[in-house]
Amino acid sequence: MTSSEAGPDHSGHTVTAVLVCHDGAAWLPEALSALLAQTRPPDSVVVVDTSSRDGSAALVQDALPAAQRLTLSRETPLGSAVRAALDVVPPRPGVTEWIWLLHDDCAPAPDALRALLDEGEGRPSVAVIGPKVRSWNDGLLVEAGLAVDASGRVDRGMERDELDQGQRDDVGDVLAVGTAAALVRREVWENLGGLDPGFGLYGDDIDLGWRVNAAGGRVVLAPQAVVRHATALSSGLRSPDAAGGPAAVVRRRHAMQVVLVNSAGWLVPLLVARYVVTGLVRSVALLLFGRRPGEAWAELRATGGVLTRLGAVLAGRSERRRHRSVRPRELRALSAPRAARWRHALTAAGLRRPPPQRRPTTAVVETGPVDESSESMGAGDVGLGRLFQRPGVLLFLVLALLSLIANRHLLSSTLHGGRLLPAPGGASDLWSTYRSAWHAVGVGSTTPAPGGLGVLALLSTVTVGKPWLAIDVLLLGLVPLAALSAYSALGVVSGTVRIRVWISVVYAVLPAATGAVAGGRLDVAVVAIVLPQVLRGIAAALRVDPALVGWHRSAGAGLLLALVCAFAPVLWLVAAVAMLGVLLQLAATGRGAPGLSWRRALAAAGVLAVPVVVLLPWSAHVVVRPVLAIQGLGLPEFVTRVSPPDGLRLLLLQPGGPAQPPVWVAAPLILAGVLGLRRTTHALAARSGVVLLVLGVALAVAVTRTAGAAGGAPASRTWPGVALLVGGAGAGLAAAVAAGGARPALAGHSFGWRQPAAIGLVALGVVASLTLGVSWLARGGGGPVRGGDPAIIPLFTQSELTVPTSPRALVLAQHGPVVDYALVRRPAGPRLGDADVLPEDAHGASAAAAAALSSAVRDLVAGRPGAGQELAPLGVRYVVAGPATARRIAGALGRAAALTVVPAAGATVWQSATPAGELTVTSPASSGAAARSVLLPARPGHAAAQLPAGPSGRMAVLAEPASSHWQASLDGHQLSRRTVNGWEQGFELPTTGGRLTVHYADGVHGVLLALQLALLVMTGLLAMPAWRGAAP
Amino acid sequence: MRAPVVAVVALAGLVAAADLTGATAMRSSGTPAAPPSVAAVTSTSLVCPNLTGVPRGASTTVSIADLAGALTPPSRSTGGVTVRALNGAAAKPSPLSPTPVARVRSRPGHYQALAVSATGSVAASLAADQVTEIPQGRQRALSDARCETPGVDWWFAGADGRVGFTDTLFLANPSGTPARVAVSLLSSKGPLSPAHLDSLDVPAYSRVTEPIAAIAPDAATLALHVHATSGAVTAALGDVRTTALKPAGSDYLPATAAPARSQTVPGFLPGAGSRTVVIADPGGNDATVSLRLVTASGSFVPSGTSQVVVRSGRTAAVDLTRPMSGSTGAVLLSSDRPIIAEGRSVQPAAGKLPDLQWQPAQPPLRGPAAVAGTGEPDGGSCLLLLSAPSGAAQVVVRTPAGRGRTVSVPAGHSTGVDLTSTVGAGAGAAPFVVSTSGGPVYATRVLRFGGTHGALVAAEPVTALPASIVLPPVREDPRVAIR
Repeated sequence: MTSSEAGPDHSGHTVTAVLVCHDGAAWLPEALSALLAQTRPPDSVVVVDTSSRDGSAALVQDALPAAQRLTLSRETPLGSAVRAALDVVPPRPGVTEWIWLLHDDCAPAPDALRALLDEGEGRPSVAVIGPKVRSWNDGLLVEAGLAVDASGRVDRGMERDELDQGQRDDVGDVLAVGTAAALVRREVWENLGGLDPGFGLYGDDIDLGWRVNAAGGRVVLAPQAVVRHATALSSGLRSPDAAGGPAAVVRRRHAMQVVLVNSAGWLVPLLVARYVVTGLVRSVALLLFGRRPGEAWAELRATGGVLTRLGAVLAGRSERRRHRSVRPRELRALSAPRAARWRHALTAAGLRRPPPQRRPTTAVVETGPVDESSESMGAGDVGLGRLFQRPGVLLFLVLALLSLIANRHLLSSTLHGGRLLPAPGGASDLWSTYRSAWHAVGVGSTTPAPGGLGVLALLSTVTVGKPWLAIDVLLLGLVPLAALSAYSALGVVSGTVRIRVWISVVYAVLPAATGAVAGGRLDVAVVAIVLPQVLRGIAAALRVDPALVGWHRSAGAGLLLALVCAFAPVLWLVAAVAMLGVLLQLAATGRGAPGLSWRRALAAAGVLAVPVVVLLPWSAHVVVRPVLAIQGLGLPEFVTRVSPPDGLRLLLLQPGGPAQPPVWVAAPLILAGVLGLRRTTHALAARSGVVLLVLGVALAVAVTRTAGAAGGAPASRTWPGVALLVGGAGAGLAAAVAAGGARPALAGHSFGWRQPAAIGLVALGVVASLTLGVSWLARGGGGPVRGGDPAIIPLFTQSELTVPTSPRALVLAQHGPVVDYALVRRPAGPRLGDADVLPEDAHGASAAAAAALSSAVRDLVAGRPGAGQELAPLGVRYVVAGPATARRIAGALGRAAALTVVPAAGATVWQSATPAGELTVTSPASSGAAARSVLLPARPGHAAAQLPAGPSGRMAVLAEPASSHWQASLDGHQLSRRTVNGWEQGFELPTTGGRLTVHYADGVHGVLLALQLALLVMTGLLAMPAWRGAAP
Repeated sequence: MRAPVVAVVALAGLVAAADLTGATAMRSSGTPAAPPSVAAVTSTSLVCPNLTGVPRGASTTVSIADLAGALTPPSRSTGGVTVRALNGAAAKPSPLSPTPVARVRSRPGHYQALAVSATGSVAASLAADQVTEIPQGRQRALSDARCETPGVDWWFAGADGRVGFTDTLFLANPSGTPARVAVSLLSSKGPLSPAHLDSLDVPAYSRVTEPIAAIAPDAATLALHVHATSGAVTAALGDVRTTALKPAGSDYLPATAAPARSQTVPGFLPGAGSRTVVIADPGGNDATVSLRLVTASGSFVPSGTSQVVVRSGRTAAVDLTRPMSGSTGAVLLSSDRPIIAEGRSVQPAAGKLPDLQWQPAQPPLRGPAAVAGTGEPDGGSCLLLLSAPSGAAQVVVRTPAGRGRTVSVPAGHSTGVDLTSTVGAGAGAAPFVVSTSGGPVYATRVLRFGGTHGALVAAEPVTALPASIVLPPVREDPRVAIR
């Protein structure tokens, strides 16, 4: 190189190169030859080996037989190693002495040392000179000076890895430089004490630069000096033996500590407070939005670590104060500018193709699912700001805004309608519905609560105990959440942001998804949101790479599957069939050894086992009543068309019902999906997608042709939303593969029919997507789901229902010839979950009670004289009907007698002359006294009341279907049971009075739920990935 | 085969399978709800409105008949019937076996109204009516009222509040639950709204009487709507007319059919005397009503009175004396707005005192219909007036004793037959059941008694027995409990 040869010979300078080795055999040969090839060789070389185990020492011995060699322990940090090296090189007065810090994984260019010395020549204020760092393999620029901002986020002088085109050559003064191939004045080093060993492996470089700057020295970048650096430590290729803890935690903690020890004193308390707050916020954000629980935990631990090390921080500050000659404010220009983050965010907002990411040297096999690490954007980016740079997050935010516009008519805290019942007051109501073995619903029910209700209860607990908020999030947030979920899952098959955004948006506004919102279908909503992640989880569990098949992936995928199965158990079957298909496909193509096939089959079995186990009491119930597998959550199905949707409509992913876009809009997605089968890359993904499409459509055909008898509705038809979401997800997956490979595939053919056809399909796809989106946005109201006050029972009747005797109301509504009725036990009417535990016993006392209720309703509406008397045994005191129904049935109810109209606004209320309630004490007619009955205070299914003494032959009659679970006691003495009126639970009473208690004994139900919780926790622990330090 | 082809074939197969099965699924689940079921009537309650026995000499006979034996095929009914004074606790079982008719005669000051309740299958074949004869005095008349079951809506057309009329509304509540009613009136000059009738309490087991002259003084040609806003009541309207202190006849106005665009008023008396139909338009728009008569000589549109405009909220009386020209018959009204109608026939007596009868608009007979009492205490005759406006019909009359008679009515004709020989006369006359086949038939039973001061008449519509109750299909749906 002529320039370097023509430069000064730096005769007044001596350079001591200190090479620190730690298991660096992979890079050492190159590092050593680079050292030997320097055009201006160092004057002496000291090699410090920290007890390498891979033959590093021998390599050094061979290459540098003349060099001084030291061997230290494996835990020695860089600073201590250099200090030990300097001890063996005595100072030489009269010359300018430099220390050249060399790592075993860095290879300086031949003129690097000369260029470094050029910077220092004649500039005594320059204390540290750093080179420009490129990556080891591809020569990308990875570091041009270091800076740190107040949050401790390190700025490496660029946004991402860049091609070096000289764009960073004008940097000049910096806060710090990396220690790899940095040149440090020995005098400054010894004055300041060198690298602070307290910072071990991370943050020591920034600390040193900061201290040099604070002491009045300059830290500069020498752009002409280039060094290739494998960054073995931070990429996880080298074990951080000297770190003293998990790398991610230590790195984060040190970053904060470095800022704390070097910042101005008055800032320290503020910074500590800031770290505590942002640590919490950031870990929650990472957990919720970033799906990076490992980093969230690391963040928390790092914050905690800082707090416990405040003493060390103070000691470090007093140490630094002695050398400080520059006020911190003057160094602020060197800190990472705040604007840098937003500059980065704006770049990302342009949805440009992200720069190629460095792959770990262990190659990921590029078939089917890819490693999660390609999804994470670099572990240094813990900052919240970075979160907003992610296209997925932006997609979510934009769609969330659009969703609020599309559902503008639904912005209410009491969504209801369609299949959705209004939310109860608190999460505890949902929990109690989920927990109870007996429900005060209808005539009284022992139907087990579906697993989905437990999930909703959990979700409501997360949304600060407000179920309405959870429902609003699920329904109003369905489109953005589903899109985000699909976007992140699509990373498996497509790296192109544009394709991922397109497919995920189309998926999120599929007719089944918008129909789920309009129809109040929480089950379909949850499936729409979680389904892409289920597919991704299953793909991860059946990974091709043998090293990556693990139980925690099976457990994780199983938990996701359990989550959707809690709402739509039929998905278990779909998953089983689909996984079987994938396994056969893998076996047929001969991927991997036979042993691997077995491992995969085991993993698949594990995935399938989890839902069965963690949903245990209910999953057994589903086996007994298979209709539950497709029935869904909430009120009985309301789309009760006589003819099921035709095949073409189902193929085009249209489930029917409210909020359906034009029928053709899904056609491009399906066409593209079928074309995906022609791709050779991600062929397995495309095949799986089409298999899912076929499975979904087949399931939709099957369920729409099954007339279910759900919830007593005679001819309800199952809505195929879940099935069509499966089909849509499959089509989307295959379409993503097709679109991803379209450009190279077309380029491979000469111009012919293919290119115009492809353009046509893309144009059709764009038009269809726009139509979908616009129809979603423009629809506004119209769906059966609506906001506003759901109560039909007038307020005064509601208050009448709260009296201690717990009377009930019967609500009637006539639709055509059919009279619908509901027994209301809580004043505000039924609430979320009530419809899922409706009585379903077709035999026994419960069926007799249901028959008594329906017969009473018939007699009332037919105006049979005396029909009013049938209400009292059912505990009904009030009959309520809306204005339209009231006009039609008023005459009949008038003839039924024993009912008085109570004037009310908005509804007509008839009051029965006979008092009725939960618990009645009946006395038989005896000489001198007529038969009479007295109501006792009782809550539904539970009573504790004072019973006066009375005549013999008395009975306590509970207006609930008789069951051996009912237990009553008088002053602690068990009362014997008797069935009254053919179904009611009666208890024989003695003549004495006392405290009467009645309750329902849970039996094994509580044990089963405890077992379920234990299994859930165990599976959750199993699903936790083994701790791995996050790698940049 | 290449993968895309396989996929396309699979999807096409699914579509085909769906369309094939779709048709089957449609056939197999065509009925969206269970069909309504039918239940036998097993309890009923009837109120005979007025047995006061005033003025002196008035004698009222209540006939309570079990017509099971007159049905085809005859059957024996079970259960029991209890007769009691509406306001009295003293109840007495009234065995209707072996004789199927029980008769209760009024005693002055003893009863106001009578409540008849039945349980068991007898409730389905029970009929009762009251016939009052006042042989002389200012209220000289023969009047007949069916004993009705409590209901919510009652319509009448033809009352009068002017001087010379002593019309009275009887509201009775035989149940233990208090009832509340709202009475609205239409007159020839428009609607009337007496304040206290908006909300009139009818206590349990009691009767409330409202003199029309007090609630609508000087209003002519009144129509009434009694609506129970709470509970159920029976309503009856007595019409007593005098002209210059001389009796001009009286009868009860039977409750007429609820407002509809098409009404049929049968049962006009044969012979001389004025024939009138009173029409009321309870709606908010004027009604244009077309009339058609079905007489013994055929069906025709009366010239001159073929169309009548009844103004909204008003009543109108249409004189049909000339077009009827002495024949028995019915008037068919068809209107562009819902209307109610009721007919009046006056039985004049040359040089003696007249009497009158009221005939309500009725639905055609479907199933067996019955009349409980055919007897006029002092003898006389029993007429059955039949109209078959659109098709020829066969009418069979049967008594519980098994005696019977078949009458043919030609299409578009009306006819009157004297049943006296079949059912007997006097206090022991038999009740009877009317069953029809063929076209729609309307039937009215008329009692006629040739009194010393002129003939007395009273009419009663022949109405269907409460054979069964249609129970609507019901289903549990928690959806209805939220708005």
